[in-house]
Amino acid sequence: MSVPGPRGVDGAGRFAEAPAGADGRASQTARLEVRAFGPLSEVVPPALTLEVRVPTSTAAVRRRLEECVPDLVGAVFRLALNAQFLADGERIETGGELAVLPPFAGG
Amino acid sequence: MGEARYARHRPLLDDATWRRLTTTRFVIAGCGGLGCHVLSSLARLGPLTLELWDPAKLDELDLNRQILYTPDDLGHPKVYAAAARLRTINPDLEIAAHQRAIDADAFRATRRGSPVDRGSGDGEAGEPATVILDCLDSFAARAGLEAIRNEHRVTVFHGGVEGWYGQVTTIGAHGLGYEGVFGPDFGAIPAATKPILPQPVAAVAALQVGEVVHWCETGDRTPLSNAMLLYDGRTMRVDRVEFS
Repeated sequence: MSVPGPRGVDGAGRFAEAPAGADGRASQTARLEVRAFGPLSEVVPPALTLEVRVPTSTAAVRRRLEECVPDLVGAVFRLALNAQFLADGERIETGGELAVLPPFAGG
Repeated sequence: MGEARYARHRPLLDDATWRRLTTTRFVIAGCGGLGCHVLSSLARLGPLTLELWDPAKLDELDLNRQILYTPDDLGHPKVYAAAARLRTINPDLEIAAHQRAIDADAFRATRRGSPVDRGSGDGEAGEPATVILDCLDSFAARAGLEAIRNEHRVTVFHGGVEGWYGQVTTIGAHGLGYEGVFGPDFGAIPAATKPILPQPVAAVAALQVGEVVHWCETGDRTPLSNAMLLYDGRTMRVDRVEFS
């Protein structure tokens, strides 16, 4: 399942340069392959891919993810990109594997 | 007991590591699923000093994963049943049992004369110290551990489990606390309500004890001092995610 972003990636799913924006600089899109852990893997479709314009932020990616998977709204989870936890305000400039990580509370 | 009972693993640990292992006070926060496995493993490592905290009495629902208990213990306080069982596993253990929930006030009240005042982060190898194994069953309770860790600067070996899954990380005496690892509202994370299989509990507890051994070797520079391991018993995958 692939959810197009405001600018597309090329047919092979690689980053693709988008047309220049109003500031004259080219913007890019990046492909985020979503992998949910634990019980969230039951609500996030397998092979979900988001295409987002970069640079972006953790908060924007989270919003985008929740738009695509409404069942995530209200769920507790953190995001990690390429096996690195993302801080809330962190700038995201590249694509890769986006992990959706709920905490496991029991003992 | 003789030293032979440790001879299978003692050669793997240098003298400083062994000294730290056998002089540290291990506080076990929660004597449920994780706590039982952690305790069972620690009890076999050496003549350790263990401090058990749990307010609960044993319920029949606990018997699928809480390996220190038998049906004879039903209705009895877990900490006392666990302590009795541990003494049969290794009579050389030093054990203290507190039948109550661990929080900053209760912990402080038990510290008089304890080595906890020396913390656990930067001590010399062999220096008596205190560390905590987080085997609790809710993040609300873990907020109490965060307060203890911040006040006493002790290292916390965290484990959490639910269903088929679990996570492990080590929260050092300094640096990221629970808030940094799980977010500022971590204390409000809902308690686990789903069923739990025995094997994720055993796997996560084993990894917690593995971190303890590394801590005895290296101090707060353990393999999971800046990372989290995620155990997925559905797919049999273990993933590692680093903190920035």
